[in-house]
Amino acid sequence: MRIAGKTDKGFRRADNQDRYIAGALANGLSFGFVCDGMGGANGGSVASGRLCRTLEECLFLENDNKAMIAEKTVLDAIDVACSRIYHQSQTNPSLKGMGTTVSGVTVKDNLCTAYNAGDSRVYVLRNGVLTQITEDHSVVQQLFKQGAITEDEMNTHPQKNLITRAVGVKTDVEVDVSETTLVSGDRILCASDGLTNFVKKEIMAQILASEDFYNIPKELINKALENNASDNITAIVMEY
Amino acid sequence: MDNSYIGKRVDNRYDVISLIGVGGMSNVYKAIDNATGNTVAIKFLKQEFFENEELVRRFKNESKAISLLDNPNIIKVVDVNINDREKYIVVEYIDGITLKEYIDNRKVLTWQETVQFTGTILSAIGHAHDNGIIHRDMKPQNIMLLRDGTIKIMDFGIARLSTANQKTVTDKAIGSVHYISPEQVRGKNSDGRSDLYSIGIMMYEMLTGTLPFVSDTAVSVAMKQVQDTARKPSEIVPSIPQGLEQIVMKAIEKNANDRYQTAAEMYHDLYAFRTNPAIVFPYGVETEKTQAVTVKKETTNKVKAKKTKVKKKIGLTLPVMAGISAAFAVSCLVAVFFIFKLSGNPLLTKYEDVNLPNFVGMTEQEAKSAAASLNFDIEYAYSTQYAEGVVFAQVPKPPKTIKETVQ
Repeated sequence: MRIAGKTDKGFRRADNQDRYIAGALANGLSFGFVCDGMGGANGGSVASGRLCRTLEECLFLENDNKAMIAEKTVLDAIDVACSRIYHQSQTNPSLKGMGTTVSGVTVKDNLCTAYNAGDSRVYVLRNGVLTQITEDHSVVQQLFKQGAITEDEMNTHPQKNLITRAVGVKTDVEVDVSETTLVSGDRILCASDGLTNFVKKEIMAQILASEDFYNIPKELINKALENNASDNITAIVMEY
Repeated sequence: MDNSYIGKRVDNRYDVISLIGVGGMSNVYKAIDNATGNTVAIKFLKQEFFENEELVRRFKNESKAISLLDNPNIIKVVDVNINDREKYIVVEYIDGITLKEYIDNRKVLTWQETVQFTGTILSAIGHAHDNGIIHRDMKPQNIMLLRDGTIKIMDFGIARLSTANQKTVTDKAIGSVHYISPEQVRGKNSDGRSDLYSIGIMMYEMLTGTLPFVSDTAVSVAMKQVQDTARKPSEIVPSIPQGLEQIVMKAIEKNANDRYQTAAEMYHDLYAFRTNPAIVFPYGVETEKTQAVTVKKETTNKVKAKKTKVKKKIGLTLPVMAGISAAFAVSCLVAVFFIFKLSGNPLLTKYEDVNLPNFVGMTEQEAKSAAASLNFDIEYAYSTQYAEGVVFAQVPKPPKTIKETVQ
């Protein structure tokens, strides 16, 4: 499995509140997670940073465990981080309201398990076709699902920023888990909305198909910057 | 940090007294303005938004734009201060209740009261629209009612900034979901007609005591704004006059092109209704078309004459629509109805008690015929809120019992 990742502050934000981790364990499990922090003066990066660290610690505890149940490890890690972030936000006024999205995958053999809370995304590129395998937890997504607005309206809605779930804004968080069977050559993209809001899906698919695998995250981010991305931008690419 | 303002003097001018409100984006404090001695409300942008340059920039620009508005029914912005340490807006302090609280207390308002409130709101909103400012969050919670009955619209353009471009977790849907227009639900461009939609929903609520679209989740309310047709208000309160119902239903048309296109146009119909509560407008009702068209024509003629006059006087160039807007935007001559306080006269005690009618909103002629059995004087005064020839105040006010006099 090849893995590449990159993050950028974007043009308008004073700091980068996106965090990501990706890697492979000795037991054969690969993983990649994107966390987009929000709220508080510096709270966003505190929340996304803490979630990434917790995921990393929990995953590496299982480094040599061949019988590891990835889904349990990941959900436990998110759970622990969620309550820590929440309590920290309650005790430190400058961190009040902080939280983070989480979107990512664990891959073992051909089984890709995707995790999601918030509006960061996981896509799979197969045969040139890019498919989103997570569902955003956002108000516009709900409106779209109920048929109140069209997909176009959802994508251009000025209030796409309203999300319905995040890690750390309450004591616990519900995380969507879904499974996809991979075929050789599949490329997985985990991205924050700084990428998905500023680069069209077709363009992402084109860049993802690139021969120059390790430059894909940089190319994706450059495209977002070309489109004047105001938000933090993060992309992880994994090839099965 | 946010609570540390109390008891402090800000920028050597404002003495902060107490926290009076916490919003999504700002905390609101009551303070004394030492430059004027007035009580003011200061909205401090929360620190967590300081890093969001785009939001700060818009907070500043929109605040400045709103500070240029000058209308007695729009809350006045006294000062805007955006620096590295503090970012705040100072507005006049309003001691009153929200229109929402008033409606909740009263359950249902009379159509006369609804017409009066809506007229004031429309003329204020029309002023804002003429200055290029759309409110975008019109709801009774954003309208203050003072003790003397004055209305003040708050939170112009600011409300929608609250989550601009900043990821926010919410259980609520977009904005104030019960009042927002379908185009706002869709995230399409909204304009003045979106405010008129919200005002239409408010009228509906005042007249019926209920909202046209309710559901257990915010998202499904939003969906109803887009898809469902509201029950007619008269199905809930049968006494609602047809003309007024037509105004409400036109204001809450799904497609902005089917609504009133401007606040003045809506005010025009409201005025026509107030002048003649039996009016039936030529839209939506095929059967009464002929009759209604005649009525409409009369109104239009009357308005045109007025338009010319006003235009000359103040040299305004008004957009196509409406003479009546000119008449309302500018002060005009209206009647104040003074009824003698007959009940205080011991000589009259042998006569029957009658309930004092409300003459406000009637034309001078209507008031005269309605008050044929009463002794009264008429005084004329200028009002920015009422159409020419309409009674805008009376002394004493109902509810009150007075003694009938002999002719």
